[in-house]
Amino acid sequence: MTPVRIIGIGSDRVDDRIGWDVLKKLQQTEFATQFAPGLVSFQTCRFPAQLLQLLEGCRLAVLIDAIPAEPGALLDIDVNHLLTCKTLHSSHGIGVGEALQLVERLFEQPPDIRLLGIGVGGNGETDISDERMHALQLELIERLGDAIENHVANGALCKLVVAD
Amino acid sequence: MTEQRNINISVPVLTRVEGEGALDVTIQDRAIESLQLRIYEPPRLFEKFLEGRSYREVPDLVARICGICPVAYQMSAVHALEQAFGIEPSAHIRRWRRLFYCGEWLQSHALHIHLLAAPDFLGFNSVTEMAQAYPDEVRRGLRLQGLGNDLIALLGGRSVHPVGACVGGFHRLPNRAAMAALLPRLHAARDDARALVRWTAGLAIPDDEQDFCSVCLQHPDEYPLNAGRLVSSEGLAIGSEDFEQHFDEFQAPYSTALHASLHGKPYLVGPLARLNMNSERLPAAVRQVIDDTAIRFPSRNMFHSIIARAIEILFAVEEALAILEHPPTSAAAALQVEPRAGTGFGCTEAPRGLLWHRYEVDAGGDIVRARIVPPTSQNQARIEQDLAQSLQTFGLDREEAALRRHAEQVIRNYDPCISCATHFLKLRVQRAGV
Repeated sequence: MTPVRIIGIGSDRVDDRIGWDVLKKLQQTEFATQFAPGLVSFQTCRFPAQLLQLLEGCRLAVLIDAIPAEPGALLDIDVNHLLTCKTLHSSHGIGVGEALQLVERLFEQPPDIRLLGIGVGGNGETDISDERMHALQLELIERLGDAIENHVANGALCKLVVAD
Repeated sequence: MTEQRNINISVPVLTRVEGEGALDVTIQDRAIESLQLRIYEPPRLFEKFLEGRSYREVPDLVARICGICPVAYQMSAVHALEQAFGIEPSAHIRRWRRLFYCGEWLQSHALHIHLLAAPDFLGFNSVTEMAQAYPDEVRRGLRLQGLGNDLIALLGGRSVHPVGACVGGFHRLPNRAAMAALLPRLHAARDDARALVRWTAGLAIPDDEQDFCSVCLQHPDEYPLNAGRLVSSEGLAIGSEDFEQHFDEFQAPYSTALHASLHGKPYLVGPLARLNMNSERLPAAVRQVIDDTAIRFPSRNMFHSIIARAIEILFAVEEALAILEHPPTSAAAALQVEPRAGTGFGCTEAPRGLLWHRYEVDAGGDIVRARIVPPTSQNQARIEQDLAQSLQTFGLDREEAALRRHAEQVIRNYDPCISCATHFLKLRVQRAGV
């Protein structure tokens, strides 16, 4: 298992598929090859409870998800807020927030977590055009690369050198 | 002149839901005047989607009905289609399928006990609160759930919506190294599962005995997973092909999931029903662990469901160990399938209870008609019956918050696919005449 994991949360349904779509793009663009071999891997996550398994032994996790926020907004969620929030609910057993709270409470060394997302409004489909969504996802991928590089630069992953 | 048009759109079976639910209770003069468990997600119409599809597509399509119990949907479907094609699964395919099913019971039950149900019994609002006081127990639950997921992936290729099953068997069988890697984890899980049974048996269980009819599969010499006759605690014993002669499905106006009845009455499916009817078919090692607790089966207390799930986790671990320590030796992953026109019935035991499928297929193996009866719809009427009695026993004079908590706990005993939603059940209590 790699120390950095990029996890696309969601499903293959409508707006919920953003996390999976971004992951597909990352794999198509050979995103991981810009980093040292064995540094970054990709995972899809259908149910937030899976995060507990997916984050085991990892140092940095970047989660990508559709967010119920202003449609088209690119979001970098403060995970600390999720970790202290007391009113988290999900219709799929436990939600992302609860899963991250469990990680924080149960892991001996919880990983650093970044949550990047794209706002999709409330329930149902948004009217974001395919072109706009594509552009937003590429922008998100750029931020993702920066997030990993910053992490490496800050020494959090000091033993792993970014490849040329 | 406007032409008069008659349009008939027929969707004969309203299909399944997984997600949000709500409960409305009206209490008048200290009596329950009305009680409705509402499932309000739109129908998903899977039976209609299946029409015209090849039998080869069915296992992967029906796996999409549920993210928690896709194996059950696949197993009921392949059994029904094999019956339609006149195929009898070989002994070694049956064993692989039991192993596949063990993975699903493990992950589903472990998730339900630790993340959904246990906080109720221990007075916490959520598993995250519970994890502060009971970190080891939550870790144990996550270990068991992870092991279940990996068992599913062993045969299914992945744990959510697995793709390994096909009519006739599996697309491929696991290699020896993958099987060997699971054995030490299963041995460790045996201790976890025993501890879990003892732990659940020690929880503060409300005293709430009720009369209800248990319905499940029963096999002459196996604890039921994917074979056996359909039996009830009131003496029913039929083949799965006779299901429609005894069980009715009907629509309640407030629910998009169908209700079901057996000879006009509500009934229970699921782990407590299975255990009530099959405890003597458990391996001796599992029975011994039960004997060491104060709990006895058959039980008329639905709050014992959490213990029944723990017992089935121990059973699943023992069964998986027995299979993997002596894996089937045949190299054939699947039997040859020659489609033919006909009708087949399949009935297996999903974690939440009986899951019945019927398929009519044409000579080329395309689906003409499908019918799927999942456990959640079968339990709906029983849940409402239970709630009415249990709230009465609990005390209708109590605060609304206490009534709501109790009602939620009762609903979670059934681990419905809407159990996730019942965590934020909207309870509206109207009091009049007090």
